[in-house]
Amino acid sequence: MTTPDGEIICRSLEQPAAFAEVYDRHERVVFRYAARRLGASLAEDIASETFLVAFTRRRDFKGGGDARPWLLGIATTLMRQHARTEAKAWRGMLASDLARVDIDEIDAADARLDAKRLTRRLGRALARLPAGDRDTLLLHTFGDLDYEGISQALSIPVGTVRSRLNRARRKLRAAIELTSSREKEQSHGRNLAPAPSAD
Amino acid sequence: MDEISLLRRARTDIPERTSASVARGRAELFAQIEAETPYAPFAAIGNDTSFTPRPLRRRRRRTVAWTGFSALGATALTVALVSGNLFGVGGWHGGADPAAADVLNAAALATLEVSDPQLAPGQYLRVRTDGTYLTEGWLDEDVDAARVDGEVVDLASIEPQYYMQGEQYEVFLSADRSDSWWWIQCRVTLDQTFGPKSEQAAQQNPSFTDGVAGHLQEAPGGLRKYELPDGGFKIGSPVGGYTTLDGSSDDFTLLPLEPSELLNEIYRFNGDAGQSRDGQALVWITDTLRLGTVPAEYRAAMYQAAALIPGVTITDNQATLNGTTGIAIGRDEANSSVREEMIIDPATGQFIGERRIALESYGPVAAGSPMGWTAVTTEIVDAAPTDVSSCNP
Repeated sequence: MTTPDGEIICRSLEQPAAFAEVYDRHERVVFRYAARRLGASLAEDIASETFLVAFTRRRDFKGGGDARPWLLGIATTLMRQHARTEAKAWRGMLASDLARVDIDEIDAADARLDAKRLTRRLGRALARLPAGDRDTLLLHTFGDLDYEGISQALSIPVGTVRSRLNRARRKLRAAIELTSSREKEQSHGRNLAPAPSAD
Repeated sequence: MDEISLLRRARTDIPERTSASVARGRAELFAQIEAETPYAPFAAIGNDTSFTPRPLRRRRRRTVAWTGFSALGATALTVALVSGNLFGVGGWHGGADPAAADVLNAAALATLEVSDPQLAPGQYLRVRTDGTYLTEGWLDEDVDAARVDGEVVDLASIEPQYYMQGEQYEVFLSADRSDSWWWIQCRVTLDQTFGPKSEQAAQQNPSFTDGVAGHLQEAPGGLRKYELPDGGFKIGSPVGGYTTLDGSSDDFTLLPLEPSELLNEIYRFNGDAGQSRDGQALVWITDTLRLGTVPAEYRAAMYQAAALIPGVTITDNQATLNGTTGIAIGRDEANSSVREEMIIDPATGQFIGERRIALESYGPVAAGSPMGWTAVTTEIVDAAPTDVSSCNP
């Protein structure tokens, strides 16, 4: 029986142990989301704590069939106490973090160099994002939430989600395009790139 | 490649969480669940075929024909029992309906006269709880039909199906409470359906068929014990006991015996929980008494504390649960349209069980009818359980 999360959470108000089903369904998603932001070690604690908080606040659940936005929102809030750790991790982002990135658009000879440059710029851009914009962006990319889901997760209007996401994307795009421009610079031996933003 | 695609591929090589870590997180969640629910930590449960639903009698209020006390005499007794601290209750604004207070105070007196069962070494007090409650679900096909892009956005648009689900839970208290207790939780059973769709929805619920027939667990000194995947174990909250502001306790000596002080403490334990402060206090008392582990003097104090709760009334003079008849005491909750009731035998002080009554019609349940009930029975047995054969298939 495919029981919607909302029904299980409703049932757990009468029968608290039913909430274990929510854990079984979503602990992996919450863990992976947290692990991609903070690393596996901290993510274990975040994942466990997320469900403890969710259980004690289950009366507040206003979602429908899918509890993921609600759970990822709680996880996001819990992760804020580790904001410095996360920012540090983004700034130290390695090329291996993008191991699966298809770099066939980059000149083969410069691939390694460009991948390093790309990840460094991407990481720094992420670290510099305002917390709310970063949460929005990463709920979208790592949490696989749509606008509505992010709106539920962060308790903000969909319009705010849209503007935060646009702003975050713009900043990341600028960082990536800067890298691409430098590729051209290297290929043609001329400096055509715009002046880099402060980083 | 745009920034979103690039980011989606970042840090994808996350190691899977180890099974020990998953289990540890689950154990922590269960510890939290227990802290809120002093009984029934698992969803599993069983059936007692002798436990059949009985129609609700027409509600009678106030006209207590309970023998032993005249209205005047009983009221006088109420005052005698609580007058010492009548106005000491924080925010006290009334008290139970006098007739309900009569019953509760009589139960308190009877409780004090009836000593707790004396167990010989090696014997156990077996407290068995049988329950049935209304469960709401949806048909798989109706849920699938309501999906938009794979997600069910509006549960309210799906026709709900209802059925009655049964549970069975047993606690075995050791003669020496510091020895190991045992508890059994049986798999849930389907007790009643309401037509073909209800039957179909119930059949789609795997809780009635999946897993083992029940769990038998040891509880050292009355504390739950969890085996951890790495071979260790974790000691959890008490099998019996009561919930507090931030957890649970099985040390009844920490509770005041003076009724108004006890009620104040109950209010404090419950904070803002429940539909109302007074309603939650009655629920707390019912939840605690249901476990069958409360020493007699504290049971008496809890009955007397209930007599101080505003809005508590007699709701049924002849409430029968599992073949035993008592008087139902409850409190209408304006916010929830549900009345929680405890059923007691004022002549002996025995806590017979509890009911949830729908104040408005809900699904197949007519207004004034029960949405769920539990019955508690106790007996002395000579040995700890060794299996879950008491869980009826």
